Parts: sequence; C-alpha cells; structure tokens
Amino acid sequence: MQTNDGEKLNRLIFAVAKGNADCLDGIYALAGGKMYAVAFSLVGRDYAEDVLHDSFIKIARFAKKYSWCDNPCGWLIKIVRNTALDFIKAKKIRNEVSEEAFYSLSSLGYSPEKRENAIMLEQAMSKLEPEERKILYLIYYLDMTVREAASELEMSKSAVQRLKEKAEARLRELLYGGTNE
Amino acid sequence: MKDDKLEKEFEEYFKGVNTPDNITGDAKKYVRTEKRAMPKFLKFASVAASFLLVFALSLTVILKTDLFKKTDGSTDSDASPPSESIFRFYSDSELESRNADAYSVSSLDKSLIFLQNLAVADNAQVSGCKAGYKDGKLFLVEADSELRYGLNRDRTKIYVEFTEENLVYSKLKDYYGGTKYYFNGAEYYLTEQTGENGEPEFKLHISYNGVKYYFFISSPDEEAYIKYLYLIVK
Repeated sequence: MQTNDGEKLNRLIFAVAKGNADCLDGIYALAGGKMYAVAFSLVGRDYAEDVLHDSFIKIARFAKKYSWCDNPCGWLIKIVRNTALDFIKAKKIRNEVSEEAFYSLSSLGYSPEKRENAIMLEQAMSKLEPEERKILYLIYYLDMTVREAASELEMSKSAVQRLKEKAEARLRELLYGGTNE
Repeated sequence: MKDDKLEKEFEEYFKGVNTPDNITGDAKKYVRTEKRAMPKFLKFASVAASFLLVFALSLTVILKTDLFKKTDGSTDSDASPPSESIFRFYSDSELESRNADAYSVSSLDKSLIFLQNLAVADNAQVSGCKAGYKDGKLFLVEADSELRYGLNRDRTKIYVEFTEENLVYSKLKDYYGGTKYYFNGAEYYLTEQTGENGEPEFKLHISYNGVKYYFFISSPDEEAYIKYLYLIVK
C-alpha cells in the first residue's frame, strides 16, 4: 500500500472507531480490490463475497481496538485471511484455490483500462517457480513480514529473505526486461 | 521490506478488480458511536440532573396513579412499559433455591458448560452458584464470576434461564430494554451504563438454542461484553 493510501486508511479506520459508519465505504474503495483478491485466493469465487462481507463486520466491530500503524492494509488483510480460514473450517470447503487464483484476477470482472497491465503481470507471475509465486503471495498479497512468511513456510528467515529477493529479481526481469531495476 | 516498484505494480493490479457491491451495508450497523469522557463538573451536573429527573418522574407517577386512576380501578395501559404486557414474571418466593458449584451446576444442562469452562480458567473465578427450581423443574441458574485479563478485571453476575420465552424472572425485566444487535446471526440486547465508580457496566441478554442468558458486567473494558457472546454463541 502506498504511503498516501496507508495514511488515508489509518484515518478511515479511526473514523470508523469513532462511529462514522460511512468511512467503511472509503476503506472498501481503497483496499477492497486487494481484500477481495485475498478472499478469492483462499475460498474461491463462490464464497469470496461472503468472506468480504463478514470481514467488514469484524472491521466495524474491532476498529476501536486498532492502533495507528505503518501497514493498515496488513491489518485489514489479516482480518480477511482469518475470516476466510474460519469460513473454510465452518463450511468444510476445500482450500484448493490459492496460488492458481491469485494471478488470474483479470479473468474476473476487471477494469478494462487496467486489463493490459494486469495481463502482463499475470503472465510474468505464471513464469515464476511455484515457490517464488508463493513467497510473493505471502509478502505482497497477505502483507506478511519476512519473519511471518518464514514461520508460514517453516523455513529460516534468511532462506525466506533469499527466496524473496530471487523472486523479486525474476519478476522485475520478466516485467521490465532486466535493464530496469 | 518490499520492492517499491513491484508493490506499486501489485497495488495497481488490485485496484483493477471489480469488487462486489453492497459489502459494507450490514457492517455499518455494527459501528458504534464513541462515548466521550465528560469533564468532572459536567459529570456532577449530569448526576444532579439525573436526580432531578428521577424526582420529577416519581412525582409524575405518583400523581398519575392517584389522580388519573380510572373509575373501575384499572390503570391506563400506556402507563406500564410494553414489556410488562408481553411477559409474565416470577419471583424469588416461587423458587426453591439450591446452592451448587460451577461443576455440579454445569452438569444440569449442556448450555451451562461455559460456567465450568470459566471456573477452570487460570484467570477466572466462579462463585455464588445457585439453581432455582419450580415444581421440580429447573428454572434459573445464577453465578458470579470474576475474570482478569491484562490490566482489566470483569465482575459479572450471570443468570441462565430455562423457562418458556415469555416467562421471566422479575429481577431480569430490565435486560429487555436495551438496544438490539446481532452477533454471528444471533440477536442480543445490550444496555450500557456507567457504574458508581465510573466503570462501564453492561446488561447483556441473549437467547440461544432456547436458553436465555443474562450478564451484568462491570469492567473497565468498553468491549468486555463481547467475550461473553463468544462463550455462548458457537
């Protein structure tokens, strides 16, 4: 999340905590795409909307417990992820969507003017090794820190850091041809 | 640390997703207005105003009862709260009360297991358990609990009632006057007030699986009641 958007999100979450319900729409406008993408990647298209709906109820309820941070989107994504995992347990659906889905968003409803860039990114992602896609998913989708990703993947922090740098370099190369850092 | 350029690339990617409509509508019902702390002099003024209001209301009730009583001896139906006409109440004198502990009382009905769970928790204590019976049938269980977490401490009076929907213990009628909310699809009523020591107090009532639960919670934590909802609603 860009710094500007991050600050806006912080303000919006605080406004919700103070009782301004309409600011939930602002949060949705800023971060809804990413939240939907994460829900979609975890529970699939059929349930992503339900997960998003329940996630916003949690945001409304727990906004008072939120403290100002550098990564408000990470807080929102954690809520979506936990809600999705609860959903998987409660509905007994299989969690089989994950990595295949997270770089195929342009095949869903997608903004036509952004579609061309989206397809480029998706094609680049599809050329990465599965573990490279996985680490980028954890870091860029789920907003995990390297430490959290290491715990998720049951790998050492340094191994995860190396994998992340390798995946980023590969993706940059695929997107910008290797000359553009 | 993320790569700035890639992060921007992903953000643009997410922004292109057409998100579904009407996602936040229900969530807005859960947003609650913040209660602002009042300056001391306003608190004093507020207490004084409350006394005056109570005095004025008492006077009105006395005058209304004495002066406006209908000639046939019945009172104006608008004078009683709507709940009075819906509910039937029973009192202490109708119950045969038996002392118990959290473990034995939990064996009376599966809906009481949460009392045992509270009792075994390291940071909680349950005391004052009593079961009230009428004609041999379990009507009411009551208990006191004290729960510590972080710097907070909840003191909670718990009632669990097994009567039919409209038959209510007379001391619990106030629990039906709160604001209605939903928790995981279950309806509950919450009244928030401030105790004599300035601590938030909550009267929480929820009916779940045919059993009625009532909690009177005194806690410095403004969201203290939520954990009791989690105890009941599975």
